[in-house]
Amino acid sequence: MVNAVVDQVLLYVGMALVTVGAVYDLIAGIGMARFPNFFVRLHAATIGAVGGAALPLVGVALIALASDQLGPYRFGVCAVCLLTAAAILITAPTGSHILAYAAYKTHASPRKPCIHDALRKFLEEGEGG
Amino acid sequence: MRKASYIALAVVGCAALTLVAVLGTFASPNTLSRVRALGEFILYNTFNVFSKRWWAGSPEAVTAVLWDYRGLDTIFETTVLYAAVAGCVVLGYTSLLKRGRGRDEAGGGLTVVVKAATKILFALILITSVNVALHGYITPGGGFAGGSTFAIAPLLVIAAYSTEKVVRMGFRFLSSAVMRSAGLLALALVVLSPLIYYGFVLQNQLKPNSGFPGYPAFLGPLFLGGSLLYLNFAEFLVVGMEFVLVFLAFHFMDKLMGGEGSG
Repeated sequence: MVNAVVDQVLLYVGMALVTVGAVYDLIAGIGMARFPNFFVRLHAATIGAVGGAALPLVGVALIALASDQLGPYRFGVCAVCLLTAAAILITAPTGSHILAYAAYKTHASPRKPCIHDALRKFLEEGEGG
Repeated sequence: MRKASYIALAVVGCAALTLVAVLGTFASPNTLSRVRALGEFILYNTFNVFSKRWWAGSPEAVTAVLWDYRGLDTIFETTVLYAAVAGCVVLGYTSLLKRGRGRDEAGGGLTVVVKAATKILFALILITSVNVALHGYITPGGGFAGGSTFAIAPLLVIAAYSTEKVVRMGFRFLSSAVMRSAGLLALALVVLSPLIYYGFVLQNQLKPNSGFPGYPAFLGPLFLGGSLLYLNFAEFLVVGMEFVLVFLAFHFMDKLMGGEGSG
């Protein structure tokens, strides 16, 4: 009885996470299309990676835990999903960080419209001192 | 403290991957019979000119599986390789950047964010590559995939730090060349040792007309995969060390050509 309730809760929480992930993907897609320059588009792409890939993977892990028909494999599926989510959480922000850094340093992308540029001040201070 | 957290992360990752590997080794007879039916299906249909409903039009069944019945796998593999190489090219560009303009920190290399992520990923990639190679006879993967995965780890360090850092970490020109040859020797040993028992070259399990009893296939409830396990590991050594050797060779070539090196 308790097991069935726990399974139901896991299933619904997992499905909710997958749905939220789909919404994140939609937002990321709109952002990619509508944002004005490379740097904010990169922000939208990272939303797609973290909210639209890592979060649904956690949801899939919960759904797998609740799927008794998978037998012992459900723990394997759950572990793989969580590991992949962790790997995305490490790599996606790092990747967008270094892409933005490289684009900034090579002037590969126009910095307009620019509201606040914290990196320029940081780099000028670094080169001056 | 920081070192301890990296080690803890590595241990957790290792435990999780081992769990996956162990769970992957339990197969029911039911699964096996279904796999056999799949094999029959492929053999019957691949080049069946009399019943073209499911045929692939190719007399080569393995290639037909690769590009027709399981074509999606191959396309995704190609895409993954393409994306990985694109990532390597980007990393190469960013590591070119640090030569031109001023260094960001005392040690050179990229920003502290990239370095921290590289440290975590280095441990994870090494564990994953060994994992892919060691149970490549149960799940997709194997020696070649594991070795190529292994090679990404030093490549990341080259991009985030420098080639000198890789050399300081213990990836030496000579030792990687020796390991590569040792892998090939192990491969030859596994392939040729059935001959001692009047068996066949590349023999794995007991076959008719052969004195070789076969490599062990089971260890308790676990599958050992006969010679495949050893062959996979030997190929992992060969491929991984070959890639490392090539990266280091490019570095030394850079030095010989009079470049300042990427220190």
